[in-house]
Amino acid sequence: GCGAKPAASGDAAPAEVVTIKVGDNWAETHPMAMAIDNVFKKQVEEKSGGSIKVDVYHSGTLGNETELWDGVRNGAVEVAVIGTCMNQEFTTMLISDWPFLYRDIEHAKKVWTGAIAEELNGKFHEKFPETYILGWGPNSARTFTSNKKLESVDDFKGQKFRMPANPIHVGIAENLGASAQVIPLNELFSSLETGVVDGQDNGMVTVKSEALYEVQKYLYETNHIIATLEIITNAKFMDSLSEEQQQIIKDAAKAASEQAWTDYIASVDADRQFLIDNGVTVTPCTEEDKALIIEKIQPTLDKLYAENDWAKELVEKIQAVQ
Amino acid sequence: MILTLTMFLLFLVGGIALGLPIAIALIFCGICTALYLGGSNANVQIIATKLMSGTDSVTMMALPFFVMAGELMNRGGLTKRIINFCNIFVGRVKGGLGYVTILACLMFASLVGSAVASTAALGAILIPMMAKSGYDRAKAAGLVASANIVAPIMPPSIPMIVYGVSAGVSIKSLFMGGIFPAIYFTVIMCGVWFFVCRKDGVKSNEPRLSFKETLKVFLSGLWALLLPVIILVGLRGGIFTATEAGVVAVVYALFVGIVVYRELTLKDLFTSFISAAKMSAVVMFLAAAANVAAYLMTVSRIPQAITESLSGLTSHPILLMTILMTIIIVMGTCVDVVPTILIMTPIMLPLITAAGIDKVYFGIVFTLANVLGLTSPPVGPVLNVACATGKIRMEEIIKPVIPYYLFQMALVYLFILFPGLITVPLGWLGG
Amino acid sequence: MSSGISDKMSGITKMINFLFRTIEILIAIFLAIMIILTFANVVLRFVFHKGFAYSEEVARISFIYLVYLGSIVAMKENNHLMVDSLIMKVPMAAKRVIYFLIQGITIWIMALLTQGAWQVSLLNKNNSWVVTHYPVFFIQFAGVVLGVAFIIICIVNLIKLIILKEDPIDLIKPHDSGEDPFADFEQDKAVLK
Ligand code: NA
Ligand code: NA
Repeated sequence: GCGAKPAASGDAAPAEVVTIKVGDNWAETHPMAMAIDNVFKKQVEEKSGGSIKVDVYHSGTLGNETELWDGVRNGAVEVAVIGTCMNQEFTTMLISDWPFLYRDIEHAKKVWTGAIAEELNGKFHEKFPETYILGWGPNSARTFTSNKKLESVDDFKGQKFRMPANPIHVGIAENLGASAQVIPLNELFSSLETGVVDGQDNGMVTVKSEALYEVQKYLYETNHIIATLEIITNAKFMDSLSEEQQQIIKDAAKAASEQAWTDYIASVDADRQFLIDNGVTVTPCTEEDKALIIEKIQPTLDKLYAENDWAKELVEKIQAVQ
Repeated sequence: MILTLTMFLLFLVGGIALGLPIAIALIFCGICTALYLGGSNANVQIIATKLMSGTDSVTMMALPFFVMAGELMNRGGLTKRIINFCNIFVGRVKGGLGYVTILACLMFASLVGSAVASTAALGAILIPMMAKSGYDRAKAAGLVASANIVAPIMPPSIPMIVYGVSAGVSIKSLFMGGIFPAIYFTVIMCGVWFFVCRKDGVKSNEPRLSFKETLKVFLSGLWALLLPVIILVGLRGGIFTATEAGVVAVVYALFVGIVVYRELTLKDLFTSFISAAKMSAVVMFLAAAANVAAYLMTVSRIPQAITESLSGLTSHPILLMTILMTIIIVMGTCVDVVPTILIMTPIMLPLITAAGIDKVYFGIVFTLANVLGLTSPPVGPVLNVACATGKIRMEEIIKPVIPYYLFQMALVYLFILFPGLITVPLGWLGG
Repeated sequence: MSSGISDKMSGITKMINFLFRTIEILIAIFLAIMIILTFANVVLRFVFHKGFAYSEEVARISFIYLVYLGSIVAMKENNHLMVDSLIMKVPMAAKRVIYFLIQGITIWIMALLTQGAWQVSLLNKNNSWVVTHYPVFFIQFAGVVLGVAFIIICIVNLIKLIILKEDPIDLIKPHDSGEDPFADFEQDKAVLK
């Protein structure tokens, strides 16, 4: 970029305040967005003694995921909280969308706040030297919702689900006997209301925040994908800060992602109850159902393993985390 | 802060006055603001990224689709027959087609949630139709632009969904709350049109048609008249989305124009494709350029600063609402609706809650104030679509739009003074 | 102007018109692709209860190209929305200065866009779309094409203003390159023979 002038370094006059723009794509009620506000922003501003100011932009006001990713790579945005839109260039990031990777959400938290995350941070920086990953937070565990009866694996047959335009997601729906429809997110509500599609898959956080429960009757808590959200920063910006400032930011990001996981896990029961109170029939996915689904989506899994030589080792490593 | 704002507006208005294409003026003021803000904001890649993402929009595809459908309807003889049919009923009323336009917009509004989609759909048909019947083209385009603002007020509404999601308000309640305002809106539109067309409104002097002739006109127009019915049924019945409705209209118009009326030639078809594509490109390029300016507006944090300075007003809800809505109306001149809602909702909501204002009521007034920006230059997406589909220049459409704009603005302030206009009928509807 | 130069100019004009006609046909094809794929999606869903994920991506890619290429055509034909009250009202000398400024600012902005788009293209040189695996580079590169094309158009406009001494009022007038794409196309072919 032209004139991405280095921000104030530690020994400069404290009068010069560094401003960090943080962009995410979530409403401020999302656990990750809350953690950015309540932990990251708060800690950085307090611990830096006001030498760093954090401006947070939720709901994609700074840009969608690809824009934020481009922005953080070229330095226009200092910090981006995004999913894995870079997974075509660095396929290891597909791990975020890997179906049925964890025993439960606690397991996912352990993985993404532990050594595996640290290791991937290093690989990520090797692949994209202009960036650092500062932390891995929860997106949320995806569930299926529908207007038609959806309480068992057999119910998928013949239903139309809006799925993200991504071969993994589409593959899952199709393997389960449903048809996958690609509909843009801002037409999803109307499409569910009028019946263009019967259902969709998203975390309960989204079902609640996007008010999809207003137009959906059933929710099947499959937790088929527990995707992550990464806190990514621009390397040039980070390196321009003093050691102390860098440490403050790193610690704050780490604390924010841990807090987000904790809050997210705590919110699951509350979100479920909220949906039930609003007339949604919520069905938990039993271990037998889960095994049956995994069996059905084997073609998608096989394809994923065949296309990604790194996968077997990493998946085993993740599954071994206790 | 004030300096940034002044500069932003100065370069924008200056650039437009100079005669730069408005899209270029928007990027120009964006770049100047970026250079002024400095730091990581002065990054030329932002222009490229924002311009690109501004054109990468599935929902905006409704634009080329409906424009194409309109072209085919005009060239394939569908429009002509719909005019003849409408004229049976309103031909002898002064400005009759204008009222048809206003009602058609309300009807279409109950199907689609985006004013751009509905203007593309109706503008491409109604503006040439009114012009062919002898109405002034600019006035027709102005009416069509203004009347289509009702699309996001009458449910379904994309802006209300965006507000509902970011404010955590029931979307169905918002939808219920929009019905009566949409009706007030329509009544006001008819009232203004009554005065606008008094001077030179077209009125047919042809003798009243006999029953037999009427039947003939109706039968010959039957195929054309089926098009709105198909769209209505398809959208309500969950067969296709609002964007897809445009394509269904294209295919149907193609079928009727070629097979039934046999008026559409291969040459017409190619001309329609090129013309629809060019028109859409012009509107989309402007929308994409506005995306660049909106980004710089966002990172300058001007809206935050202004709103935060109003926190002392929470004990005066009416005054607070008046100022907030005025900010929205002003912001609406140069930022598009969805970005404005996303930027402003989280910063206004604490004030609204503190002042004890109902969030559903606020959402309705907020949506109306926002959509006013759709017909105000320089970033007036609906205005741009109306210009493109009506084949008139930007300057020509501004004057005819003003009277509607003023009355629509008055409606916003009326809602602020008398919240009961919204809340009472909302109670009846159980929202 | 001697007839030699004017012949040469008209030859060049013919070539340019041919190029722009080709672009027009291209954007028509992109629109056709969008319509066909979207309609196919409706039919597949409604009749066969099926969906196909790549239709959306291909339609999006077509739309982006349509807008970028269409914007270039619109720039050449002065069809971008603008307000020309000022330039219409002022005396001739001022008209020429204003027209010069308009072209100058546009060139500056487009130079920045070209630079930015090139950098973004490089940034994404190994990136691709999820379903179709279409390289992101070719999408971002459209920005470079747009920027360069706008600059060339502006330079030609400046040549017309300064060297050929054309009237700025004629230069800002919108002009469609003809309603009938094939009439000109046939003509162009005849000229090229
Ligand atoms: Na509507
Ligand atoms: Na506006």
